[in-house]
Amino acid sequence: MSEREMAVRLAHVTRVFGAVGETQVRAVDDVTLDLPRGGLTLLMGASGSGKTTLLSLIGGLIAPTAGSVVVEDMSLVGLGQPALTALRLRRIGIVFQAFHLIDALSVRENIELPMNLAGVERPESQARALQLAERFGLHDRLDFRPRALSGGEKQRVAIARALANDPAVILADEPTGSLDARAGDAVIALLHAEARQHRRAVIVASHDPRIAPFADQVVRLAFGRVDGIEVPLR
Amino acid sequence: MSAGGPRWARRGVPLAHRLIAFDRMRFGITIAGIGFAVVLMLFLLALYDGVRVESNGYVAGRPADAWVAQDNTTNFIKSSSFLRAAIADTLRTVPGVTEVSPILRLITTVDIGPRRTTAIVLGIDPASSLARPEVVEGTAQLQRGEMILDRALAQRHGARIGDSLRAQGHPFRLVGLSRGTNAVLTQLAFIPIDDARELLGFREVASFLLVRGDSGTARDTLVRRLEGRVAHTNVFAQPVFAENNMQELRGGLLPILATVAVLGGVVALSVLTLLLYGAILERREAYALLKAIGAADGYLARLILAQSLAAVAGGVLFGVLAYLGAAPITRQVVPEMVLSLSPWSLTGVAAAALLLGALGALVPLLRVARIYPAELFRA
Repeated sequence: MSEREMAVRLAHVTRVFGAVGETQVRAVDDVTLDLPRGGLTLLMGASGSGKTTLLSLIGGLIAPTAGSVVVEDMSLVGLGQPALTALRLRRIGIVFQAFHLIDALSVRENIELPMNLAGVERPESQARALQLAERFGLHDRLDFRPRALSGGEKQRVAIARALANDPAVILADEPTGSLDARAGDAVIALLHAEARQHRRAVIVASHDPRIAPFADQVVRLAFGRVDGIEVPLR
Repeated sequence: MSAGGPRWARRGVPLAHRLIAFDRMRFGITIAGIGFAVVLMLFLLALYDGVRVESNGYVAGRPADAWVAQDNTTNFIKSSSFLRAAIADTLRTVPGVTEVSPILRLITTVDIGPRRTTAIVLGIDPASSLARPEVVEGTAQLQRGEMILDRALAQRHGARIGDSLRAQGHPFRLVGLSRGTNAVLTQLAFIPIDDARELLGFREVASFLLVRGDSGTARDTLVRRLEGRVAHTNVFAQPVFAENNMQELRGGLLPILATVAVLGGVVALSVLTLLLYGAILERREAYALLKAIGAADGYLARLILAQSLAAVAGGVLFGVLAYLGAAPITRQVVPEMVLSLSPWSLTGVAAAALLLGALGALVPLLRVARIYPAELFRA
């Protein structure tokens, strides 16, 4: 892979939580990784291996203790909160295990929200929300509230929301963790398709081995360090 | 308006309204809490306005040019003043004076049926219009043994025209009901000055002298002529004496009303802050999500402020409607409570409520600032 295809570059990234002493935890320890556009990278490991911390670092939700994080050629180190917020809004989409849809909003409004935050006004955001809903089979659920949806539908809405501003990077934390096998497979297939068809870097943190066959590379983490990188055979 | 509808409709998802509408019970409680505090503030302001209009009405409404009182007496409502009645004859000789009318003020018991109350009983000259109160029912022309009573006092005790009353044990017949004569804590009653002197037991005495000048004499000139004509007296131009009286009323009432109004504001602020704070804690994940997906601090501030101001607007509307419904009932149940809400007072309460809305958003805003979006990964 050429350097131009890398959406995310981590160089010697370390993140330490807690004060010095026994309570200090090195959640991520000297990790160097290149994560390409157009591919799905699976971060695998046991609980506490550093998967979620790595996602938070890439998303600019927390800052590294050491090392550098570059997203779409922008170094996050030293960026202030407003710049990090703007970066997440326009270039990073995030999908959570627990969906985190806003229950006071309809499906359409949940998808529209990031666009409105980015300054896209309503007729346009509504049209784009409709397109995304159609792409994910949610067109007949647009006016539903999230509580009326199944788990798989909720996660599809969350993915549509993450794609609303056409980001280059998608971060997904255990996206199948709250779904049954069939719904989980469908969600991973959608994420994989997004990576391939729209040249996004999709980074999934999970300990679900069913995802591995969809991944373009599997990064195994243990105790905060990279324990191995595999490219699954298809 | 450009293509796509008005600007407000194009801005985006109305998240603040959706959040408010989603938990109607909480919003209703917030509105009611703020609304009752607004009602309290409106009642206090209406009471203040009422005192200004009603309680000072008698003094402010005298068609006199000057008041003469005992030396060092500055007002009508909170002072003692005793003058020799003969001073009136001396003042009648002052150039420009056309009429001098004495008032003898007593604070005494009035028996209305089986009930006894205390009132300020004014002995006035029935032949003079200077001291005669504004009568809303019955007659203003007093004869010996007759009394005019403040309408609120009469209503409170169920007194009607023609009823028999007793003042300091002496019998009187109620012939008129007056207005502008309710000082909230006490009310005025009027009897002929000769009857008042009998009640007092001194014949040649007055409390105040009302003086009217001719049309060719300026009021200030008249006051200067009266001053110094009789020793140990104070002479005030009518507006000055009315303002002195108003200041006494303000001085007694304002600190109390202001204290309770501030307490009402504090209650409203506490209710608003508590309920907004609770709503934010309950929706912690939603705010974390907004931060995670890229909502700027300014957006979050506007979101919370919009909810706060919506609650305040609802509370003010609720409060004003509740006041308009409750004020007439209050006047019936407590006639002495003079309520008169001015547009300025209403505007003032609305402005204070908006300020409360802004202040009420501060603590919730600080709470939102401490929500970290990374916590969503733990859920």
